[in-house]
Amino acid sequence: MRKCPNESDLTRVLEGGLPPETEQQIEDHVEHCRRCERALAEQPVDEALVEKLRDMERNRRENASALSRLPETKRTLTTTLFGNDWKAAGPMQA
Amino acid sequence: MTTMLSQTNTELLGDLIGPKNERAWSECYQRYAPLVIAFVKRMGFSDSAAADVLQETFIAVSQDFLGRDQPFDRSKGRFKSWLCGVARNKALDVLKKGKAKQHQVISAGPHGGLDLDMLPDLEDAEKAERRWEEDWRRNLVRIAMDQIAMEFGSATVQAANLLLIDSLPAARVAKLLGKSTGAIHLAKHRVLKRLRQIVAALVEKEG
Repeated sequence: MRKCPNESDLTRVLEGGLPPETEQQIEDHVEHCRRCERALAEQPVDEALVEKLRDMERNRRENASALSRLPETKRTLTTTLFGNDWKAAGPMQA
Repeated sequence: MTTMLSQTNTELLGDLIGPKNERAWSECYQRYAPLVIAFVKRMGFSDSAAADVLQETFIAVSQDFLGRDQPFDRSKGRFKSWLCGVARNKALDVLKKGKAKQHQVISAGPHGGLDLDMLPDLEDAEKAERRWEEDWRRNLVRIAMDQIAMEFGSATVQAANLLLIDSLPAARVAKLLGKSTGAIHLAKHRVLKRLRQIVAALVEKEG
């Protein structure tokens, strides 16, 4: 796509609802277009949501050492509850 | 890792009943173990004591659900409040046992000081529930971000985190990740949009 997408299409790329092929074309364009890059940078973000994200991450970092024990506690629990490991379980995300 | 949101909370709780459903338990652990840890760590529990509370909480939940023949009865209260009650009681038990054995249950808090001021909140059911509610909301964001990492890939989430949480300039994030600045802004908007959707859905389903 050579021509910059209009504002409506740019918004729809963010919101969804464009055919995948069109979406991909716009994405490819945006990745290399300074003008569209600026337009995206100027799109407002939901600051309240960003603050919730920051708050969650602060909490996760504060509790990092305790959260790092989760897989170990899980192993102990599975042995206690089931007598073997939970085979279906993947790696625990702290 | 299982798909984190493949089941609603109600379906997940239903699967915990009766025969030992290991997958449901694993998913339950992934959803709620970090919540229990966050709750007791804020009260000033040491890492080791927090792990004890977590273990005791899950054993109690297990004993309750494995002995059930009926689904969790939402009319008698929400799972959220019930789990808070279990975690709070187990935290108080661990505290009492620690005191009896002269073990150090309370340790330096996340900011380096003792959070003894939080202890009355643990003993007061209403205050504890208010604390739990804050941690519960935070946990929904965590669950949503884990889901987004599975959907979009960790690189997209990393881009959004560096930009939004660590407040790095977009150009620097782009350089760090070997992407264009436009791609970084796209990642940011997409992550936020999906985060809003998932959190809204979780709040609707789980409160």
